[in-house]
Amino acid sequence: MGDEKIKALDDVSLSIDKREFICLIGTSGSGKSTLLNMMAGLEKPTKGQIIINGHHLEKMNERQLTKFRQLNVGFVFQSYNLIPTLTALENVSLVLTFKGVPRASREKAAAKMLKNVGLGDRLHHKPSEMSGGQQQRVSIARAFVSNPRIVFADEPTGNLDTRTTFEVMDLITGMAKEFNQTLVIVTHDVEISDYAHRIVHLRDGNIEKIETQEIHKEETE
Amino acid sequence: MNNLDIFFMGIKNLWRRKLRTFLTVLGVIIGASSIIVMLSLGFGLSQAFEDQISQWGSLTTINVQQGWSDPSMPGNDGREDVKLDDTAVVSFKTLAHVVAVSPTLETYGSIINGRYVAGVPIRGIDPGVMEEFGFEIGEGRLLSSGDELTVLFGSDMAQNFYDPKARVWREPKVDLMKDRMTLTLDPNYGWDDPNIPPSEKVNYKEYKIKTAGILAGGNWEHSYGVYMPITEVQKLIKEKEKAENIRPAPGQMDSSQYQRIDVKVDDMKNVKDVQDTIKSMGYEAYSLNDQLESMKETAGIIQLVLGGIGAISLLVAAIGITNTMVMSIYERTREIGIMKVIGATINDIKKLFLFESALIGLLGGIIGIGVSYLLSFGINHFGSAFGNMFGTGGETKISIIPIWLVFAALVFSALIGIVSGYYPARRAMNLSAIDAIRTE
Repeated sequence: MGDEKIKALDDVSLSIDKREFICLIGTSGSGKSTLLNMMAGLEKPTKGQIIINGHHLEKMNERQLTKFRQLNVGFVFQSYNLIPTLTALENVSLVLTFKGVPRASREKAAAKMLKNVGLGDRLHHKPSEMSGGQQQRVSIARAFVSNPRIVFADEPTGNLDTRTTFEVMDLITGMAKEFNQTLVIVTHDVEISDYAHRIVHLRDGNIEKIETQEIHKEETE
Repeated sequence: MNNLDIFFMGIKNLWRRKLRTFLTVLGVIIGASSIIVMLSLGFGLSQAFEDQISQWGSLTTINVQQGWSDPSMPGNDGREDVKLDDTAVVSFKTLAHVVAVSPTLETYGSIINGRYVAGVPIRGIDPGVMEEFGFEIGEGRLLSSGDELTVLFGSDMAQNFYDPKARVWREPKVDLMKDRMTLTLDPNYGWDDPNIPPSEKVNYKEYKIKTAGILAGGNWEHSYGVYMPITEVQKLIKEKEKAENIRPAPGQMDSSQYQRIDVKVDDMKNVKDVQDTIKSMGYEAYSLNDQLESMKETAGIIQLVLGGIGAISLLVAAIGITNTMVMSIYERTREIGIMKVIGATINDIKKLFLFESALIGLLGGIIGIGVSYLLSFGINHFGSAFGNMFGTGGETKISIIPIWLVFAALVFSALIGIVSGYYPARRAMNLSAIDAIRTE
């Protein structure tokens, strides 16, 4: 307690290929979320390196990191993290707003993406007017709308029932495949990890083992 | 993120919290309008001073008189007295910013109009520069250089005629433009002084005079007396001296000198410089600017005090903006975090918050200006009693809002908004995205 230092991650070494789908799995406190946040540049490691496409994330300042995220990264969260005052369309197009895309073209792109996730009739609904599954689909549309190189998802199905879970997972993996994106998902659900090319098992801040699932590997090649 | 999007997003955010935005803006309105109204009172006061002094005469005229030098004073030894002659006139004309120079001679006489008489100062001036010296004609025409025995009446001269035989004063029935009048330089015309034996009586000449015109009212300097071309007055004075049989004493003014030279300067702000130059030449120089300067200084101090009072309420308003924005950040922590994670750069966040606070300031400034105009109108409309207390009269406005003050207020209120929003914006900028997102 207090001043005692806890190592959330220790001696983790992992490399991820382009277009790969990685699943980080582990129990609560295993460090899987910390690893994801670090890879996304949301948290800084005290030691070590994070290199994405030649960029050293650990050397970047906040200004550079926000820019890096804008250009390269999409996010899906367990708690959706939609802005409650904005409609589905506005939430999705917000990403493009930050990129400086003009209003007409960003709303068109956002509407198209929302149709892709099956919410064509929910464009002008606010998050509070939608179910959990629908909200998560909005957040998936938001993560993919700017066509990022990497999509990070932190327990994307954690708040959803089983049926919706599969819908959402199909959606995420399908879109990542369609747009040739790298996908990193954190979960504690073994069924979800079945979708992945590789499964990274974490325990107490260390990588316990890495499983490669040949079936999916072949699919991409 | 482009500026148009920041603009719309900022407006939307402010609109979302209408009541709070309104209350914060209200603070700025009160602050801005109190500072504007307070300053406008100061401007009104200094304008009132200026109007008052300009009634006494032109503010751009310098009166130059013979310098007097005391030989016993150190530094004055052997210094030759400067003379108010044509050489001086020419040398003043060459000074920078001098528009016109007019020598002035003054003598005293009486004008007889039927049974009415008026004692008047007779001023000789250069007819060529009358317009430059602000002579405005009410009736007839100004003097021209060829005029002989022609006078131009001061605006209120008609009231100065009286009937020496009447026991009570009655409104004189004179028409200065049409009546036939005679002029004499006898200073005691109409008074038979029994102490002077008839043998010593001076036989003053009487001149038939023509009227050129009557000056327009509104200028105290031009209300009393009559004006003639200076060459005519020189002639009159010579003839008067002849009649009185006196010669100018040595050292006294001879006929090549003037009593006074008026110098007209192009702008009020140059009066002091020209005046100082003339003084350094050895003359005595006066202008109404001397009084105005000290009165303006007083007005400036009053304005500073009033403005200071207004500034306090604006300071309170600025703190209000900061408070509103800090509160807004507490509420929007999660939202800021989300925006940062999905690609808002920290510059976007900073701009967004600065824009919101600048908008609060600007909005308050704009409405504050409107309110100030209303208040100013009200003060001018209902506060003439207050104005009379100052002795400024009913015509002068008590509260004056110069147009530059409007623009200054706009810029300043927006600036206040930005300064007040700077700390909150930095705070928002530096929020850790991941921590912010975890806030519930």
